[in-house]
Amino acid sequence: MRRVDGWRDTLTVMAFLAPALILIGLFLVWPALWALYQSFTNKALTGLTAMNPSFVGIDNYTRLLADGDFFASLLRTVAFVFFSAIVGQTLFAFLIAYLMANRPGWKLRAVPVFAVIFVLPLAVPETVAALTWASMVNGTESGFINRIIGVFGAGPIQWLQDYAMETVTIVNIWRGLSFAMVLFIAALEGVPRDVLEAAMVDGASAWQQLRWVTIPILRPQILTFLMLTTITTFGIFGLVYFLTRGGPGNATEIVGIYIYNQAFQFFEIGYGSAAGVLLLAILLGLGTYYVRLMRDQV
Amino acid sequence: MASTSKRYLRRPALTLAVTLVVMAVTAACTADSGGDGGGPVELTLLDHQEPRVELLKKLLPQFEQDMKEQGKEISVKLLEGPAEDTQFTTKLTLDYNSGNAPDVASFGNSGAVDFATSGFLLDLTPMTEEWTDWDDHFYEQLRKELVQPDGKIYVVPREAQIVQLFYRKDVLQSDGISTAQPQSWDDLLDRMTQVTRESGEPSLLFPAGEAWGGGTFFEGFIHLMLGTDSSLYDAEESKWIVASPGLTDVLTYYEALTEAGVMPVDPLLNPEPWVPTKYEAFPKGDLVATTCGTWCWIFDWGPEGAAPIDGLFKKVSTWEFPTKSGEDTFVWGSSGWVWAISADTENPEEAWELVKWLASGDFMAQNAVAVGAASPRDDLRNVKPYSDYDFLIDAERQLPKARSFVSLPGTDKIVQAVGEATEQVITGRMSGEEAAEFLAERATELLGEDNVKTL
Repeated sequence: MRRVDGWRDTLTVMAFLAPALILIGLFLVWPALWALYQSFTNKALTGLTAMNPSFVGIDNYTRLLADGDFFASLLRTVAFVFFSAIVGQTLFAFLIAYLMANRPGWKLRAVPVFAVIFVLPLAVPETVAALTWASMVNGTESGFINRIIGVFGAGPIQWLQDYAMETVTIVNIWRGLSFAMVLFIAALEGVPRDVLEAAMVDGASAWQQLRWVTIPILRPQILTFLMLTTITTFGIFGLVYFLTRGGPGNATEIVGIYIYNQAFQFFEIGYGSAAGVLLLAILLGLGTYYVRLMRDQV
Repeated sequence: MASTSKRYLRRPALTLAVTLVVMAVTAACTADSGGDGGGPVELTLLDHQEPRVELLKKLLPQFEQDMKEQGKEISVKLLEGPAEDTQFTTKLTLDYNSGNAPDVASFGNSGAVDFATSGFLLDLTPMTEEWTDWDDHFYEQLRKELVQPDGKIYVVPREAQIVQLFYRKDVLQSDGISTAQPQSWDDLLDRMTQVTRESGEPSLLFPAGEAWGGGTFFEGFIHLMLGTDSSLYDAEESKWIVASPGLTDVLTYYEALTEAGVMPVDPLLNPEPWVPTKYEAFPKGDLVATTCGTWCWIFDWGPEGAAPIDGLFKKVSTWEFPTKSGEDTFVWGSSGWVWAISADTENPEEAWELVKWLASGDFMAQNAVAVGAASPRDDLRNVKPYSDYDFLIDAERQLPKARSFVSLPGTDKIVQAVGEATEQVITGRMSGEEAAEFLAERATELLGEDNVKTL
């Protein structure tokens, strides 16, 4: 590999990078900077401050840090990320992928059938997925799940009323499972067979192979997925909004919905931006942490 | 090799130049909408909800034809917004903010004050002054209500709404409970408690909580507030009254309704609370009384409505709203939806022609019937099909003596605080008095200390 040397090389590199940098700058960096700027103003979408927003310093942040609803939504989001993304998606997806992947002494039959079933959620648009689940967990007797439990004599359950957070958590696990599974299967298929065979010859049990051979080899892929799923789940909005709009009460008002409500229901763009900037800071922190973990591995 | 790379370097520049030229030409072509040159004009009109949109689709060609006969070439491009009110308001607000607003839009009058204050709407005062229909035929109460705090008019009524208590006559009669007009809140609560005791189901709905959005205020809270001696706004000082005996009374009444089990609390926390209540429980007869407007006769429970009730007029009837003291029951009467022109329109004259047409004769008569509204004009009682709907004409007759609440700058904040406070009460997290204190704090926080006062 030749080193970049001189202004001609620099110019060439810049020319190649420019399209991507311009797009990233335009659609990622600029909106983030704009949100940062707005968060220091009292900009609203309607009313007098819509016409004449003014600089309010850190007022929005002071208000936000004293806002119990914001912290409640943040805590809800942490729980949602932990149970749906980290435990649900990552753990279940790895388990399913492990069962479906070929390895010495193990080959599951009808893998393509299972693959289609598990990959289906990936093919369904978010709104359709939410509407489908809304219909399935309908709290009346005609709801799909209520019909099933009705066969066993149970009465109808108001899933989105009585178990709203649990329901959206399960829906999100279902939604993200397929992507994780595809990623893990590809990674598992890439684990060298001779290493696993050597472990078998040495008398390692299936659990020992998984714990001491497979997982250490797959650590970078697992961390990459954890980073992706943590960040995307932290910022999730559509799936939960379409199902519950943050309700009942505030039971499922995760931070994405909280920000949307402030900015687009109550039209307080400045305040909503401040919440968005804080969320961005949290996600940057998480991203950096994961990147460090991966770098340590390398 | 060097010459090849140079050739490749030249190509992007050439492509860029060609693209820029094409974009410039395209922009130049599309920028001219014909407004200044006296040529054909295309107006955009944003509306939502199926009956309204379908009616416009059917009748707008008539407007274009009428204009053609007057020698004006005006066409209208109909844009359909999200069906749900809150989402529609969000879309329209973003459209106005981004400068992409339609020339003409229709929305609930409660949004007019914020849009007008924000500078999004065209001042229609000079136009209404020259339009003889305005003074001659529109009800004075509605005209006054539409004057904004700066003394100008920005919207024209599309319809008028009478809101009252709708009740299941058949259920009450079969339970042997009086169907006479309840005079006081206590009277209403006693009767509904009897119904709930009989059926085991919540019987009375005053929308409450955050899920109903603005409906909690405009379809529930305000009809109780207007039944007290307290006001929500001090016009002399231009301040919101965020703590008063009346406010405490209203929230305490919500507490009483909840404790008696007559309020459908769980459904009110549903993301679409009107579905399990107005569309399911009321048609089944489980919910016996609910606040609703003239639209409910058609839009909600009519044969083509969201949840039809067979024999609607035999089974359902209306009461006026009772008051705290038991004196002077009343109905709410106000302009429901309005027409407005964007301040950024390039064709204000043509847009005004459209608004005038939409607020006149045939269209308004058909619109009233399509959505279940009273006429905001006094000259439509003989215009078909409105003339065939006695219950709408009866509602129209109540307009001059009806009570209403005029939206003012900051109404959205009060609406938000009321939504949060009522939710605290119905979920049992706060008593009525605690919720009143919470409302005062929240409203002060949202409106600013300079804009509020307490009594």
